[in-house]
Amino acid sequence: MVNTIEHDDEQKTTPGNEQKEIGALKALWDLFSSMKTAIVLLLLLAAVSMGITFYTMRGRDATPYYHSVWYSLLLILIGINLTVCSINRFGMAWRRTYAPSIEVNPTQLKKAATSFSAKAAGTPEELAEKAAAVLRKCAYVVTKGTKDGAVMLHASKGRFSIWGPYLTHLSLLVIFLGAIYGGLVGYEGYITIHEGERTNQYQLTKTDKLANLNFDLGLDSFNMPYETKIEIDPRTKQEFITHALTSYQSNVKVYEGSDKPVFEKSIEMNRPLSYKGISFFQTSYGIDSVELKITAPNGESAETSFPIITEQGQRFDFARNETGLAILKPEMGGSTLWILGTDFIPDYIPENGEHQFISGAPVNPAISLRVTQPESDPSMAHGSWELSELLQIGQDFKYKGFTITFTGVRKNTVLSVSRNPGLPIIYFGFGLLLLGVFTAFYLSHKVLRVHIAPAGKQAIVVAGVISRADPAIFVKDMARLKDAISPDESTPKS
Amino acid sequence: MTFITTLEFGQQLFISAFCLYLVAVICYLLYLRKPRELVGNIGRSMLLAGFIMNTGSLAIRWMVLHRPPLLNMYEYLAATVWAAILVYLVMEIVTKKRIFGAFITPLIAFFAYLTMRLPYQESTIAPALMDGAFRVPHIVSAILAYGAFGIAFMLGIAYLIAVSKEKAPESFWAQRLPGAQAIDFTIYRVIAFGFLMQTIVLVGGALWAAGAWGRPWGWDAKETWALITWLIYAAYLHTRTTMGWRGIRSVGVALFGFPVTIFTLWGVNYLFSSLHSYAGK
Repeated sequence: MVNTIEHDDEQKTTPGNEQKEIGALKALWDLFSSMKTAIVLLLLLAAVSMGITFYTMRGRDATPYYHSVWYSLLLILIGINLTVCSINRFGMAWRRTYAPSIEVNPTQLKKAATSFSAKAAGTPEELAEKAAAVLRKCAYVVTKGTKDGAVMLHASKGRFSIWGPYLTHLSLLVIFLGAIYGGLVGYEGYITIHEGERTNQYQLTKTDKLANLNFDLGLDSFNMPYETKIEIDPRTKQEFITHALTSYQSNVKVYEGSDKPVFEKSIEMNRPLSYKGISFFQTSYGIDSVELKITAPNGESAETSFPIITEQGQRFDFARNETGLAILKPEMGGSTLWILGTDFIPDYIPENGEHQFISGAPVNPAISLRVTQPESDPSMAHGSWELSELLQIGQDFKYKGFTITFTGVRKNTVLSVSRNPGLPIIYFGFGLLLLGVFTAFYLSHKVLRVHIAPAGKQAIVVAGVISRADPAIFVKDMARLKDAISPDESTPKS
Repeated sequence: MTFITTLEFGQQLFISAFCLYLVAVICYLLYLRKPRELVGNIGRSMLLAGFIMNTGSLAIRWMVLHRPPLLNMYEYLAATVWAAILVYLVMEIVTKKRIFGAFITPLIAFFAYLTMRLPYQESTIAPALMDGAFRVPHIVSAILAYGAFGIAFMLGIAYLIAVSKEKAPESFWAQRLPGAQAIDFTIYRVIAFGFLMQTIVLVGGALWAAGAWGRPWGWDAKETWALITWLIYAAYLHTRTTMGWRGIRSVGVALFGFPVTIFTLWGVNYLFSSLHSYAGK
């Protein structure tokens, strides 16, 4: 059941002429301790964030706006507001928890939504002991006070819930501090590693400057495991095959100076590498080159490669020169071979027919080439180029005794590099936040008051609840209290 | 693969759930017209039966796809409908007020209809969504939060009607609806629950993002809108608990929160390029 948070009196500024006399600091303090300021700041943050998302919706990078001075200023103002409000209300919460006001007016208590009054035999002290014993049995913390011969009891349960809103606000400050500390001390960047290579150089995100790790990372291989699935074209109702990636795997090794790796790990989505306080996350990948092996008629062989460009992270093509050609001119067996890269299909599934180009993940690449020998045809007439079929990895193309084999593609991986010593603080803040919100709304602070006044040989007992909590939660406790004090004679009201 | 374990069967079950929800809507509307217990009981039974079908539909997807059925827009909406029904049924039992069904079930049935029209076939799931310890808490709390905010919105409409008829105690609506103050308090309780869930959404999402992408927060459009939603409902709770707002002003904030919620749930996926855009496909 949701608890109703009790009202915290708002700190009000001193009105009239006195306000002029107080210093600017006090006025500022009052401004920031105002709940109205808090609401305005919350809604302003929401409105500004909305504005940024709409302003940057057409491909603009939103991050600089959120890192801008004015956005940071808004967050700082909210931080100050949270701090001032928490300090201002701390004393009150402390008193409500550990030194509650025991004094209670019996007339007011009688008017409470849940209350009863009764005449009972015994002195106020005796009856107070009885009542306190029952309330303690019901898990209340009971504080006793006396005034003008009357005995008053303040019984409270679930006092921790008073601290729910404070915990929530404190947690937000902790999260802010964690983020600021992480931002000041930590860093973020990207490292690109090519298959078969190792590097320690990465690029910082904020400044685009290059920096070095104090160890090397080597990439053994980059893999994209996938599942083969059959989908239906909603337009033609024809089935076609797709390859759905299940992961991105960078198999990396850590080197500390020597060629012997000290650590190895397969980095995947949700499975980062953490080494010496620095974390590496799978972020992106690319294809560096198409690898070819050429064997000349005389048996001489050589390896060569076409550079590949990766556009928008997912589109791949041969890197072309200013005339739009991707061309290799290896010299072999005493002659020169000209090889043009024409098509690069990332995921070639012959069965797909017209749906050939649907799947873009480069898990099953195929290429087509055009080959000629300029010596045999100096005029370079258009028709003299011989076109290959689409070649998959391992397949070859034969041209005038030459064998050109598509041996594979060389890939690279892009890992984000981050050192964020603020994270443990942020995580601690998250824990406090959840505890705070839960405590604020789901643990109720129950306060039950009893006033016992002497009336000759008897005493008049008034018990009641002055609280915003749901009256229903007191019904059982009130009944037990009433039974203990005056089993017969009473005037209950609930 | 037998029929019982196919996505088609899951969809058939969801359509059946929708039909039962429709019958429940009719019963709750009849109950509003004339509050007879029998009609109300049939309405709740139909809702419960639909809820079981809805659960079955999600369970079958889970079995067939070997992953929680929460990762594309069809699944996400089907689960949100499921969560809204759950929150409503709990609310009906706790508050013992069945009359709200006439307001809440039509909205849920409308969302069930929208779900039915989405493609239910298997779609490609981004590898980042394949696992992650905080995936299920993040998404489950999201559907519960959005379900609760939707219910609070419909209760807000009930409040507006109740408050407009307060001076005419003999009128139809004044006879049917509980007092405006009671509705106001129920809205507060539902939003307090939604706010706790939305807090879990933000915390769970940040923890998941820290594991998958290396940062707990990246100002992605969906992240930002989830925060905006949280801020609006935080403002609602502050104005209520600390500034003592009650009635029309408080309900006004609750009503404003729902379009923001809908935008976070749906609009972001279509309008913005977001890491969460998968959910719109």
